[in-house]
Amino acid sequence: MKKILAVDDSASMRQMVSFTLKTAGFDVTEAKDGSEALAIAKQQSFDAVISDVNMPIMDGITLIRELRGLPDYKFTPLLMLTTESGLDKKVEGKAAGATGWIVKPFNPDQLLAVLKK
Amino acid sequence: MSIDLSQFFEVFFEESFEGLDTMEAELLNLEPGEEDLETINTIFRAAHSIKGGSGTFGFNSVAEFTHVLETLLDQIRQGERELTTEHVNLLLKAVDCLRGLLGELQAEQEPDLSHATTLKKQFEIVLEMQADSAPSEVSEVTAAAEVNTFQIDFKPHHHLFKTGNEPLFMISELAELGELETQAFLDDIPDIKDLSSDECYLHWRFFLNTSEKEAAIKEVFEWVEDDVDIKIELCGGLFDEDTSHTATLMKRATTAQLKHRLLAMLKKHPTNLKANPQPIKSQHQHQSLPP
Repeated sequence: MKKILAVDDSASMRQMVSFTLKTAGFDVTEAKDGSEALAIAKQQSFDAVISDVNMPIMDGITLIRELRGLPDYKFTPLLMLTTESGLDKKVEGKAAGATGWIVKPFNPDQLLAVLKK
Repeated sequence: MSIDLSQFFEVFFEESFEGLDTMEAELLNLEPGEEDLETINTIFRAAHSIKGGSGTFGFNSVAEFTHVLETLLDQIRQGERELTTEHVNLLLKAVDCLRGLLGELQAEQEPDLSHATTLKKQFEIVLEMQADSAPSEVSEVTAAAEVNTFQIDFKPHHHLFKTGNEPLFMISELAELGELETQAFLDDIPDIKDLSSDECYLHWRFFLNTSEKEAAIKEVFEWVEDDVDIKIELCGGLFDEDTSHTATLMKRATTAQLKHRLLAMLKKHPTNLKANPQPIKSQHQHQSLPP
């Protein structure tokens, strides 16, 4: 079973993402900010990471940059959650090493469609 | 697959009320001229979360209203607009208003939007006023080689066939643009006694992975604009980086296109190919949803 790390400071978003992915057959671990996510990512290995951008303590873009520096995550798909108005964050994300992005708000099907790739 | 999002509502409401409390507390602490960036960021993040969550869970009136708060807060935290007492007061009123709206929604009542509409106009007036510094140059995101995923909701009107158009051709054309995943909906098919053989009752949801722009998708449906309902939404995408994962995706997209061309070629000139080609598997994945 593929393991996914879902990072978002909003509990309801984490739950929604978690439920959607678990229903689709993934094993999901949640983290509420970048710093927690990084710690978890160092202890276990994940097949993909999905992260919101705006979070306290460590934001999504910094998290992606940190993950890319770890040997285990050099080629792991790292996806960022952006908003329509925040598409300029894409540039920063790309520079930090993100694989791609998902636009918020999204419905569960859209999440799966992008993730399938 | 359809997931019942209402199971997440209660958590969303709880965290939103907490967020509003945070916003209010931090706003009351703010001294225009002496504000610190971290406070502004905290207030922004709270508004951002409420907007994101309300949009995701379908509370569009809340999302639309919160959007203006988020925009103002974003400008302030980016240094594009200086915080004033007027801003703080407006934001405090908005927090109160949101509490009311979310409370009504939580109680499953029809929310009273009159106050929100008035406040929203006041925000819009503020936002229209000249900002203090020119907004930072947003570098053009080169979408040239990115692979985007679009969700396309396609509902032909019943009479579509009578205009001489065939959805299958449009779907084939869509498939030429990249990798297509199809969901067909059967819920509009009437009872057999009411069924007319020359009417179109099917509608679809497609997910298309393509490096083409939205304009290319719209072009597929150009001729039938008035005879169909189309909604195109960008869901996400992949950057064109030199990661093995993205490279595989790009290869798959090109292979899908190649296969279509090969298939088309085969249909036209079956004797042109020397060797026996491998059987071509369709890249479409048809999933019929239960009626």
